[in-house]
Amino acid sequence: MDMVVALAKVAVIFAMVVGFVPVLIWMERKGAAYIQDRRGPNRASIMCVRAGGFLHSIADAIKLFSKEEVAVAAAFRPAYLAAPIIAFFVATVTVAVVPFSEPASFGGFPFSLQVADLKAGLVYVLAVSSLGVYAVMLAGWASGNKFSLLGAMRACAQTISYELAIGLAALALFMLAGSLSLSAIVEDQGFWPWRWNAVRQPLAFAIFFTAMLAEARRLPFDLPEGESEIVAGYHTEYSSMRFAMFFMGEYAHIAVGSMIMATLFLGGWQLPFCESGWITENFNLVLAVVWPGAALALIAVGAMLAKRFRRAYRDARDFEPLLFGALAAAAGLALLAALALGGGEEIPAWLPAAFLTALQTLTLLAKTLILCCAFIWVRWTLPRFRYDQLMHLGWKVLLPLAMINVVVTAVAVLMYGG
Amino acid sequence: MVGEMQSMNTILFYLLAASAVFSALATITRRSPPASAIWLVVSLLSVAGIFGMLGAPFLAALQVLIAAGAVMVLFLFVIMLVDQGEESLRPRIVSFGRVLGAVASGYLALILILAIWKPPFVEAPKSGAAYEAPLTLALAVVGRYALVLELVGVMLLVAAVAAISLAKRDTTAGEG
Repeated sequence: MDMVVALAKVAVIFAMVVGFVPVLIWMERKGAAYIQDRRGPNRASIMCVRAGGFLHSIADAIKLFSKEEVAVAAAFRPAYLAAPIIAFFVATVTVAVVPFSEPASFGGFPFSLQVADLKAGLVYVLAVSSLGVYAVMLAGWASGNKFSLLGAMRACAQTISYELAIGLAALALFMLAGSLSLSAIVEDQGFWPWRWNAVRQPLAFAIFFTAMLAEARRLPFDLPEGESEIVAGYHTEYSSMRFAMFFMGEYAHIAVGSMIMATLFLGGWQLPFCESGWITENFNLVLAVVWPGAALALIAVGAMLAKRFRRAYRDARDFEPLLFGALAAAAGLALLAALALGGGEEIPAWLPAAFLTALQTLTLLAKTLILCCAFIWVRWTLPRFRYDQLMHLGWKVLLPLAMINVVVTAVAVLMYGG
Repeated sequence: MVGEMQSMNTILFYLLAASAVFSALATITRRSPPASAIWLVVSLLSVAGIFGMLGAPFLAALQVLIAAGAVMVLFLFVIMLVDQGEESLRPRIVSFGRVLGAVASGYLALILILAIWKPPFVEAPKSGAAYEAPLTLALAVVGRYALVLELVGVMLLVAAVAAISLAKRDTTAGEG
């Protein structure tokens, strides 16, 4: 039974991370478009459904699957094949220690949506993410291309420089919580937003975020694939799904990095302003507010979508808002009908715990998405660094700041007892 | 259930041990330096897995973070930068390294024969729960082994200074 639950948890959490990839690609394109004052992707459609350009991710997947895989003659094949796998593996496996919900009990069966609560969780995160650079190095070296090798060299130098800053920023959190376990760090932050580490440790948060951008090799730190200088850097020689693995790995890295940051700095699964025990104790009240509220919100969404109906294209595409609006309104009406017809039934014992687990998971995912937005926002706002600026920022700005932060935190913890 | 766990642990141990030994062998037999270094990384990761199985996940994570994640990355970095190719690494006719290797492997063989002849093998002692916590390791490093730690630190500093002085170009001669 334990084994089955553990495997199910692994499957669910892995699916969640992989599910983030198309969402992030969509967010990236739309975000880029709005920042550049364009509409962004809005053409790909199935029947009349375009889902705001979301279907472009599916079109992309089909394109990548059906493209030719170029066999590179100069490549060192085992490493060349292993590199994209390592990239994706390392990006997704970090999430194993992230707690998605508080430890709850379902009829005596303890359950929390977390694969492994390691005592050294924070070190595990740092250790696994430090392996990510092997994917880039192997890809760059095994491709047998000088541009790939140059990209690998840059990635290697960059990752090593910024890893130190990440480790030192995380050290300050460890001192505050007194534990390396991620669930203990979330527990320590509590549910008041001004007790979260982003407020208590603003410098560590800024350093961690900056270094995370560098680790994910996103702009302004995308020198390893600087396309105006070295073609596409380490993945120059990759095509089709092998390239897609790198691509997915990069987006999974953003998602997982944001999850880690939400856990460490934004209170993880903690609902702001609301102690989780309160929800289970006053579950009747919560249900009485949330159920009609959800129904009314769905109907309002349906009405808003229906209002957007215009005969703009004079074909099936015009009816898309009506379709989704009708679905939302129908769901809302069904909820209302269930409320009116039912009532009086006993609330099953597992429901409060299940509701709380789902709510906490959604809270963490919402915080993650906010941080992902920040990633995208930074990418389309800042230009790429020069190499010397990159090294200067890493070694002469972030590292000393992180050290000062550690010392100040240590003194404060000694004086005020954490 | 306990028995199941036990047998799974045994299988896992043999897998990791075999991977560690095989990759260590591959490390010293590959001709191409980058391939050699990559095999060393695999070996380090396998040993980290064994640390984790022995009940010291913190040590395992540190092994991955420092040995595999930082030190070996720098190794690979340097090796790839000064890629010698296999040609320049052809073995000499009589090399000092071979003599040294023969002596060392004779010594190793002696130890192995002794070990098999009079097996001192015991069940690996399960390290206590203390090893799961970072505190135990931290106390050992700054308490019992403080002097060793400082000495290693000084040695690394000397090495860094030496590397810088070697790498620094002579700016006084010619146009710098």
